[in-house]
Amino acid sequence: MEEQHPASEIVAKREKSLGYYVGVMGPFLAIIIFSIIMAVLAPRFFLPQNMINIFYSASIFIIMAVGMTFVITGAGIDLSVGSQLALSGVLMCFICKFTNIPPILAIPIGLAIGTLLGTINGLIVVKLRLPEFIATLATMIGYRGIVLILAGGFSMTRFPTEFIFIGRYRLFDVFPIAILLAILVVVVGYIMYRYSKYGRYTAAMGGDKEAAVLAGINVDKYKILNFALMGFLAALASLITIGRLDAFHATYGVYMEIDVIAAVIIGGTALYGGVGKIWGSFAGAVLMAMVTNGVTILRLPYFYQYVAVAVVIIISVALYTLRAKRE
Amino acid sequence: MSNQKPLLEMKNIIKDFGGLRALDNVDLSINPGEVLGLVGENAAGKSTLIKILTGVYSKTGGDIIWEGQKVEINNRADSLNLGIDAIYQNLGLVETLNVPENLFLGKELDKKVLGISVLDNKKMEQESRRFIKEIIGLDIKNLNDPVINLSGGQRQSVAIGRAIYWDAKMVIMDEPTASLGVEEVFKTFEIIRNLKKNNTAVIFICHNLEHIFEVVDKIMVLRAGKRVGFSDVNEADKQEIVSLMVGMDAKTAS
Repeated sequence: MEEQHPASEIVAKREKSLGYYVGVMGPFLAIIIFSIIMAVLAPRFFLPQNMINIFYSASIFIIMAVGMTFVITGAGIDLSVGSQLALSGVLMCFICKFTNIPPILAIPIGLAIGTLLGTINGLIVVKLRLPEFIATLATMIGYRGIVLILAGGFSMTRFPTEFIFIGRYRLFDVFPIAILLAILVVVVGYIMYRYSKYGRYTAAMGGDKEAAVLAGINVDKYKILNFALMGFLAALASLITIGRLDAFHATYGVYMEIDVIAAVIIGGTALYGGVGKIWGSFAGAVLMAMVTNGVTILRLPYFYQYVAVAVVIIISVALYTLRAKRE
Repeated sequence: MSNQKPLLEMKNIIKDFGGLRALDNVDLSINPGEVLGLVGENAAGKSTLIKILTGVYSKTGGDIIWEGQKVEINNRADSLNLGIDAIYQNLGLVETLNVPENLFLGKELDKKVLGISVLDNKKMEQESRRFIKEIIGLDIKNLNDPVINLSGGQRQSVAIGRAIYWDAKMVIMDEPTASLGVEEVFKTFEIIRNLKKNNTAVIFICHNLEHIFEVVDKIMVLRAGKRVGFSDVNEADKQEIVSLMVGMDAKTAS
């Protein structure tokens, strides 16, 4: 008799399907397709100055999307990101405007405040056992409330240069360093995701919490760390938001959670956790900024961008679902 | 009975959930390299008993003696440190991670780059490839695919391979054959025999008595939180075991 191979050895050699490439390259592909459309409709889209503008406004979302990628990969969600951005921002601005603390120190203090706001989210989720959707919905409202109490009636502007340079300074007067900072965050985020225990355990607990616990992973710790990182990055994004316009408004970050979560999901991170795509989130954030910019370039009324963003979200998520089904 | 020193002894284990006594003075003893079949109907206390060993629950009363020493198992880490691995129905694998990521989960290999400790993914992959092929005798080509893309048997091999790789002294298998095809069930038996050869003790929980009788050395029956039977598999009789499980006298049942 012929030697029998156990069934387990017969491994179907799976061809890398078209769907696979759509999954990996999806958001980048979408950027190319959208660019082609814009090339036809409005060649001005490709002017270097416009490209810089797109990446400049995208930098805020890119930074937050990296944090959100970790949160969602860990099977979580954070709706309070826009309020964290505003609250850490208003407190930094107050330090500059109303205290004798050197403005440069407002930056590390602000980042620490952001980290604290995120940690509070994490503690509510882990210690009080609130569902993340509810916990961060509450802090979204609560943090925003504090912003409005502190700065609801006025806006602030003309901040000291030491404070706003991160968001404002342009290399050779052309290229905003905020874009470089955003790319740095993506690179560091990618390394953390791929090469650190933090990243690995976030993916593990998002994929199967029980299995992660069985492997001896302290899932509560990593859950809190995810929210803390999100808060830190929201404060960093706040620095750019304030610096870019040299102003603070109490409405900064309103509806931002929608854009940030959308960027992450468009980027291919699994909505239910376990699989994170840091570079995908980068591309997702850039695509969102392009769509918003495209609406402006085409001189369509501002609110058309909502419809455009909705279309992008639906198409990209539908593509992933189709791919998942096929596999 | 062998006069070998037991690997694990549980004495008078009690577990209460509020007013409900889930385990009532349960004793258990297992030697190195021994396979113990744990049977009982649903809610008999099987899962509670093993969750005490894996550190998911803490016992209300009783003693756990591991290699002759009294120990406390307060969490999963304590249990892992003793060398107790568990393979549950879902195998304890994270299905979105690939084979090396699962094999090394919680015990990743790292290396220093510029003084910072980073995961050594390449080494983990090479080590997994070598180990899976040489020790488990499995040829998984798509090692870097998420585990969800592997067959049930392959997944189980990875889970058990992890226990062997990390030199578990005891492996708890909860319904490992429940969702497997015939051929894969035989593969599981083979793996259990390999564990035994490796001097690893196995606690095997299973509803299928045919499977139990196929691989175990001893059988322990739980009913309503009490140990109602414990015997050598050679001296056990299937009919008698069933009677003990459901709580009828063997004679009246037959």
